[in-house]
Amino acid sequence: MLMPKRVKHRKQQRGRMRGKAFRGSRVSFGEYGLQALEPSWVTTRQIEAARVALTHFIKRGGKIWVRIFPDKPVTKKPLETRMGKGKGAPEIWVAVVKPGRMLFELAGVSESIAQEAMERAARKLPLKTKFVQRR
Amino acid sequence: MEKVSLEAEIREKTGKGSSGRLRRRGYIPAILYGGKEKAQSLIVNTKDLERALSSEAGENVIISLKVGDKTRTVIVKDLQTDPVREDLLHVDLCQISLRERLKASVPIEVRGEAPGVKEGGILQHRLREIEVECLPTEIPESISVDVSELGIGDSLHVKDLRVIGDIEILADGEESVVSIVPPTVEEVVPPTPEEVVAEPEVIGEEKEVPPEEAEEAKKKPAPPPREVKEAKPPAKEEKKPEKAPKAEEKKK
Repeated sequence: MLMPKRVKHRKQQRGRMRGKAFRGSRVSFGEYGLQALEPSWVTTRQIEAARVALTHFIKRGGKIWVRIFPDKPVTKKPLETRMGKGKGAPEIWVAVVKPGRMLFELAGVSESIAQEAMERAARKLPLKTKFVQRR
Repeated sequence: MEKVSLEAEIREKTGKGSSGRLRRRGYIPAILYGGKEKAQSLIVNTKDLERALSSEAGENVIISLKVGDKTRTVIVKDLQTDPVREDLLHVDLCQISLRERLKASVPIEVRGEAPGVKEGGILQHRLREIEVECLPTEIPESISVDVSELGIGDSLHVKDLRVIGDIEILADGEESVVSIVPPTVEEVVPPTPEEVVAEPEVIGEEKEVPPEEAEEAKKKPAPPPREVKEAKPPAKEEKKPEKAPKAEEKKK
């Protein structure tokens, strides 16, 4: 599962996801890409599920790039706990995704296979996406 | 090299408010710089600019820009687009002289079918654009690379590129342009019952002694080792039996 090896602080504030992703918004490595259309947190498990769906569909051949990394810890309080007594323990890791962000890239396959593979990956993600090609 | 004409007006107002109004009206803000004149804020019609950029030269097109009575020769230096809608947001135009050499990035075009790809390899582009220096009129539309002799594991480098005319390639000769990589194999991971997610190491959690303090500690004489005394029974327990007889005496 994806998560940082070292962090500066164990816990983070939630933050907001305003605006668009101007950085990391182009197809930079492959031929095809999956671009986010709305802001969302994408968890480690969702990224892994989408990646597995991609690799499983394209089987042999093709190369995949995962353009997001979950570097934000999200804490959670244990069940049936009273409020207060400080922030909960880090539970999951998420990637903060803004509209425009390129999530995955693909190369070495035909356009129809890339489109189908990206659609399958998109079903594992909690946000609207679109299939894009290198311009 | 193709040359297209474009008209522009001088822009008085700057800032995101007026720029937004311009974009809604079908224009985009632009800036013109280069040469000996001061930078000038301009307004350009979006459709005209898109038409100019859709020529075969792409972003390396030479534009004869008409601002008022003056006509200047410019190139597109930078182009800002919306990441989601892909609309043009802003354009940087740079005034050039047709007699001076300039740096431009030219797309690399792959020709032929590599035998390595037929064997199942993946053609990977390491460089999609390359920086060249030449006269503005000699900027090539693209530099083609023939990959028809590449097998799996082979690659073409910048030094293998062939250009016609007085064009200098600025990239490092040893840099890889195209390579054929072996296909990725799907990893089969045995299902684990429950993955224990370990927390990452927190930077600076272990207190490190600063170098100054460490030096001071070295200068000071080390404290004598503590003598280990034999454990004595607590004093309170000894006193209790003394007090008890007194209390008994009082009662009497």
